[in-house]
Amino acid sequence: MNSLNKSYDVVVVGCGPAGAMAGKYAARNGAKTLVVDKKREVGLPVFDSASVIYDLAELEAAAGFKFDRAKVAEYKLAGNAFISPSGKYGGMQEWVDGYGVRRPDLEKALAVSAGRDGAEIWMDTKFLDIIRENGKVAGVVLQKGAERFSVACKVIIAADGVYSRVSKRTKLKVPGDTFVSLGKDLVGVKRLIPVEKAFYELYLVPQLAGFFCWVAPRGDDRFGVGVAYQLELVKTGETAREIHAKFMEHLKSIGRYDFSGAAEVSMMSGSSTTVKHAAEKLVEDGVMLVGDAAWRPLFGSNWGSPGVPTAVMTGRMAGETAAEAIKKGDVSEKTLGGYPAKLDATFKDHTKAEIVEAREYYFKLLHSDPKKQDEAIAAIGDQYSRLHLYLRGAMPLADCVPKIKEWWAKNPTSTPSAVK
Amino acid sequence: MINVIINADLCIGCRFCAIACPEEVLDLRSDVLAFVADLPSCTACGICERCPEKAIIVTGKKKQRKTEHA
Repeated sequence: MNSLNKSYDVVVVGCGPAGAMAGKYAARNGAKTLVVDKKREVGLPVFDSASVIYDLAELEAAAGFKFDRAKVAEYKLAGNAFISPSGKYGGMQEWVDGYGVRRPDLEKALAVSAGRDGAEIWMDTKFLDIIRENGKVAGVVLQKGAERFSVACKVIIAADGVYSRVSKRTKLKVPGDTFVSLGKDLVGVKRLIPVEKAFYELYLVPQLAGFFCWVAPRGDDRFGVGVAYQLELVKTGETAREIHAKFMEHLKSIGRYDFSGAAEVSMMSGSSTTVKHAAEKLVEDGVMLVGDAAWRPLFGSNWGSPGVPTAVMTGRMAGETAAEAIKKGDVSEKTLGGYPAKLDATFKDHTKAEIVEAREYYFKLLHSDPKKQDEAIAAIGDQYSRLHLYLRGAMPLADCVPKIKEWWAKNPTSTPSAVK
Repeated sequence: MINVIINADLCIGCRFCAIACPEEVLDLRSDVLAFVADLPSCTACGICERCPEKAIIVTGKKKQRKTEHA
């Protein structure tokens, strides 16, 4: 293996939203920074089947620049809502600046801004291993085509997503339990029940208890229709395609949409991990985890949504902290710990136990019998919509969990509760 | 003999196999389909056979895994 005789302060592995922001803010604060990604093109393929951002302005604030909205923001979304098994709308939660976004363009905008701020970016470059000398991070082994080579660095930022190859080579734990999602982008769909504003719709489907099913409007006649689920839920061997077809059947049966003339213009799928196995620690000497590689209960999001806002925030914090550590000449766990400390300060309002409880109440709704789900959506759908947004990392829990808890106490159910 | 066979017609590119494989045998790159990146590391544990589309078969396993999709 050859050395490229190149030396960086920081190497970021992965150029998704977290990696681009880590690269941008490390470079901007004076660290010599390289971002590598094994894909050929930033943002593609798309693993996010919904591509919904609940507050684009907030994302811009976190990223530190404004997007070209004509490119990024595809379709205005007014908020999120639940659709009960019988097909009734419930619990509309309004969003401030929500959109169905063009995910590849969003990611490209983040990478372009990182490049402009001085981060070097190499696509088509796979991370293979960490090089350590005397126990300290000294570089990385990379591969481009058939060629393997090393570059020197002091800090590695792992932004390599749910399967984080980097964190497997550290003492930091990575998430393990898997969710799978499948979404289709359908055009030429007719709404049979007109709506004033377009909401991101979450469906409770009797034939798919425990599954997470959604319709994400992408135009007046264009809709993203998707499902996400833990593999353990599939008892009878259906494939993801078959499960998606079941959801489509349900959508037809409740008569909200006419899909008869619809064209499928794309199919997206992805996998993600549950919060249960999330990383406990985010840094060690010379290594930091960001974005999905850093998944942890604080962010609650756990059903296949890659969590762009969280990725941008953690990437930026880690990039800034890495640059400070380089300036100090100290990349120990203690100094890099400034990043998780910032994160904890941002999310200090909830304990892990509270978040786990919130998640269990969410699954309780997904697993209840259809009659109970209808009642719950009619009575506390708004609280559930808030809880959903929270689990996407969007807002504080506020008082939704106590209200949800109170309702279930008065309306007990014999159906099994959360998926463990 | 151990081999990992991926039916590209079935693969939906969800990354499940790449995430699940403890030995980093499987990967996704460039397009959305899974491929075998490092066959010599495969221990034939069969985790990837839980593929949501049943697109993966591993040959040379010592014994069949007891449960699939259970």
